[in-house]
Amino acid sequence: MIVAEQKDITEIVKMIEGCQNILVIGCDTCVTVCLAGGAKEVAILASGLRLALKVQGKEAEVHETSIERQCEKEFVDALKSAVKGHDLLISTGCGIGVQTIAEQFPSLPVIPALNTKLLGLPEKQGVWVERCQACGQCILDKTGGVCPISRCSKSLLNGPCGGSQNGKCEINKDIDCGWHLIYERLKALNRLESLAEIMPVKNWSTSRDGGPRKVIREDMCL
Amino acid sequence: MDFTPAIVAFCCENSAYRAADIAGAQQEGYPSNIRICRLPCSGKLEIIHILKAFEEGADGVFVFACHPDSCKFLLGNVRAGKRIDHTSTLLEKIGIEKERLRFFFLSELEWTAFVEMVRLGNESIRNLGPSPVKKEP
Repeated sequence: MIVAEQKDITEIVKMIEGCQNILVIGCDTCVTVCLAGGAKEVAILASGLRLALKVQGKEAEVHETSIERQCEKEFVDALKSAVKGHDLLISTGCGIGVQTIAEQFPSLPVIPALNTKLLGLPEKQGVWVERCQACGQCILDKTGGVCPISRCSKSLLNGPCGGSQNGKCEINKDIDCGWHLIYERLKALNRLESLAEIMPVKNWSTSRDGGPRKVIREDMCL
Repeated sequence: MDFTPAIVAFCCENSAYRAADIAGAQQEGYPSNIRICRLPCSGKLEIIHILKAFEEGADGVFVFACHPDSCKFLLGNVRAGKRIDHTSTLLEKIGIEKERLRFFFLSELEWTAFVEMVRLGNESIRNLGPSPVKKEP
């Protein structure tokens, strides 16, 4: 899932300056699971903004709503009546949600309440970790299900590097060495011999290096 | 200053709520401007409850939890403490003094302590003056 965290409320207060009717829009999917932008967090943010505005002696209305998914136009379209009368929209969705709302309501300014951080999973209550960088060419079959692109700090394809010490990465002792994890996993699977195979240079054009990407399923296109 | 603060006290029903009840039965008066809100556990308290109290005009919010290691639900008081810390930081950023939010540990038998805490807390909020939220635009 997409993991995000809320911007500092002081930053959001600055962004809403001069606006009179504000609508905070939540997203009930990924950002709800990572406790950053679901209905609950929208209520806290909207309340916080109302209080901040009152403390500053400003008169403005802050309303709140939430939709199932901000990244799908069909769900965002359902906001049509809710956005009426507002002069600013605040999205607590990920970067995709903010942009979908901006595309669907081009006459209204939309500001992000979150910083989108990573593609990952909840490791434990309150902690989310990165597991994928959407490189566009998955090699998890070769690495025992541990991604060297996201879990190795250098995204090495033939690791580990000399900075691996006792299973930890040289950049931070709290970070596991991705290639150590791969080694342990392949050992458990009795597939250590696959490490002898040198992986060729990766074609990074399927990742961000190739510019904005697009996926097309011709059979599904109307 | 001639000012009677509006204070909301969120009380765990397993400790402070009972203490308040005993204090009442003993006719040990505590300030009448304290509005008690009963919680099944302090862990039930959410950040939004505190913010809503300030939005609705509270000058101070007190939260009463059971003593450490005494929570009926094991970690409710720990969770409440973490939420209070988080909310205090949020309040400061919003422009509301964090001293307006107070967190107390109490057992049901400590009804005299409850009265004392509420009286002192009430005095400290009175000294802070009305909530900045009440400022006229």
